[in-house]
Amino acid sequence: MNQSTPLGRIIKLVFLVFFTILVLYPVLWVFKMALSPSQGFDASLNPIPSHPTLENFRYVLFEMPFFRWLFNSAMVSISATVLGVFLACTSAYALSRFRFPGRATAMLSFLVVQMFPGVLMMIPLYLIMDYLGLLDQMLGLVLVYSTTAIPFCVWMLKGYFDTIPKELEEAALMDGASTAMVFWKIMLPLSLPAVAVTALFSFMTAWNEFILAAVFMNSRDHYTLPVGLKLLVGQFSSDWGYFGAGAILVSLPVVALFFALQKNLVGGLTAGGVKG
Amino acid sequence: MAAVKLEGITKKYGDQVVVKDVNLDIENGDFVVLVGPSGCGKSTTLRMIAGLEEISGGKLSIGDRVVNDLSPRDRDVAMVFQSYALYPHMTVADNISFGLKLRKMDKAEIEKRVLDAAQILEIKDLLDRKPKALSGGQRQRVAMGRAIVRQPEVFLFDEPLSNLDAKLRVQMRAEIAKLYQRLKVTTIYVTHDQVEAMTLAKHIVVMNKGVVQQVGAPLELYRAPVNTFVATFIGSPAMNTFPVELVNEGGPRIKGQGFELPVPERFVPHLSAQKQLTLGVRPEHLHALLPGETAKISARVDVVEPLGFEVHILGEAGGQPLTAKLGPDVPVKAGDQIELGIDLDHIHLFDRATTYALGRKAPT
Ligand SMILES: Nc1ncnc2c1ncn2[C@@H]1O[C@H](COP(=O)(O)OP(=O)(O)OP(=O)(O)O)[C@@H](O)[C@H]1O
Ligand SMILES: [Mg+2]
Repeated sequence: MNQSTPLGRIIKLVFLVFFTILVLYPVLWVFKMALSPSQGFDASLNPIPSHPTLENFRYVLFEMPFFRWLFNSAMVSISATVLGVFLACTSAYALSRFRFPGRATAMLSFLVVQMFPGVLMMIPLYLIMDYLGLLDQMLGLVLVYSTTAIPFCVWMLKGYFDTIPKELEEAALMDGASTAMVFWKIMLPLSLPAVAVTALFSFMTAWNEFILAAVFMNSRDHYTLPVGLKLLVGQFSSDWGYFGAGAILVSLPVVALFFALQKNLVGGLTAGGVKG
Repeated sequence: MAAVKLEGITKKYGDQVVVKDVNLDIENGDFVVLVGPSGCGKSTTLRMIAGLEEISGGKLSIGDRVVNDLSPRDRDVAMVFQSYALYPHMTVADNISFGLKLRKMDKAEIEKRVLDAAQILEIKDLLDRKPKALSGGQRQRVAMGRAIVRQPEVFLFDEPLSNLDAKLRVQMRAEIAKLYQRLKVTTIYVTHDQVEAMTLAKHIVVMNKGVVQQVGAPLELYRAPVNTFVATFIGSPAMNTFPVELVNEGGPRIKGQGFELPVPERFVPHLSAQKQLTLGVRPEHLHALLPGETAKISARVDVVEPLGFEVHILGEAGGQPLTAKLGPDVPVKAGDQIELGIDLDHIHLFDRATTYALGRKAPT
């Protein structure tokens, strides 16, 4: 790679710069909308706002129930993550370590449900939630988000658990640990990278999810952030400036979380392959 | 410390029987080594004693308790694994004290035991390190430390030295022997290295295909193997075997391909109608032919291995591959045809059909 000719390197650079711009341009545009005083949709190609202002941020933060929605989003996402990851850990452990009837079927069905787009489940889920009286309730969203994240999390964690040598558990058993102790004191601490990845995945999915939240939550006070922001983009008029500001505010926690877990993430994705 | 008793212990995976009807009476404070070729069921037997593998049949007692259905934690045994199995996320001290903490032992007592173990194993300086910062030999010591702080009734070792290089293996072997001398705890040790078996064991159990072949003190197995399997498994290089026929020409004699020997007096009472026998001669019981010696065999030399204190020759005799240990000064070279004297006091005779030694009853 290092021995490429100067020409080759230039081509590579141009290529990379081109795609970077391609990816970043829409993001820059959101910033432009957020920082422009008008609520219009400025179609010019220049991504630099002409009269930058923080007015849109002020409006979204203080004139709208932003913090209410933030609280809702945080509660729902964190609960869904904790519940989903916990259940995924225990089931992945069982699938990785125990042989029982229905094991292969369970693994397969987890894989198969991943193949359908989530919207397909909207109507059945709505009916179930209605039946359970969980419509317009945070608990309903928590249950839905954690269960939809579980299949991916189970596969991810099972793959990781499989790489942890069985002797470690046997050594702990010999040392006097119960199966539960082995799980808590040996398996989980050793699987932290994988747990971090799945937790981030669950959190992001729940945090960004719009459709189900929009369908299930009716009262304004129960909206999550994505649903709340959608209010700004109406059928007849759209407040693009507020929307841009809101979009940036919503993505900040996820970006922060991503940077916080970054080291674990990279480690998490490679460690499964190299551990003996 | 406790005695361990296996009565008819059997392990099946589906229809496949991998350990069959093992009966062992291991005394309190004994050092028993299970040896046998790969896949013969040594680890499975050990793991059944540990409680890591379910027992399909038979009765296992530790002390005066039947432990078949007890989980490992209730058996009070400690095990050292081939892969060491140290907990990667814990320091050496935490690794060693894990079992004690689980038992909710008093903090001061834990500390004392960890320090004692670290002292004995000379790993005091390593207590704060994580396993990944240790060498193979150091990991091995930590694994042993984890076992000894527990002060268990029984120690189990599954090929603890096979991941070490040759020199370290010799050193750790001596360490284990020393440790045993010091603690005198009942120990069951699995290996397929027969030097380890011979040097460490008070008693050796030779297994093949899930069946115990012979149990005895190391020298007993060396001197009086019950069958050709034990005969060729114990001793290094392995015993030479030749198919021979029993004839009676002015006394019982055995005839092989290109050689003929009188049957020593000690076998005579055990001779039967069975004429097809196997002659066993250990490499160390062959020597350069002395003048006038008649118990001899002619051998072709293929390879000469001068080891300094002795010379090993590999070749062929009586239609069979042959190994001999000769004195350091015997002038031989590859390609030679030489005559070797046979030490009749040390030959072995086996019934070729049952593979059992003359005078030994084959199990039915
Ligand atoms: N889970 C299992 N299912 C089926 N067969 C098994 C299982 N575990 C072990 N075996 C078989 O049991 C036999 C004994 O295995 P074991 O591990 O006890 O051998 P070993 O004597 O320890 O060999 P080695 O010296 O190679 O460690 C082998 O033939 C092995 O294939
Ligand atoms: Mg084994």
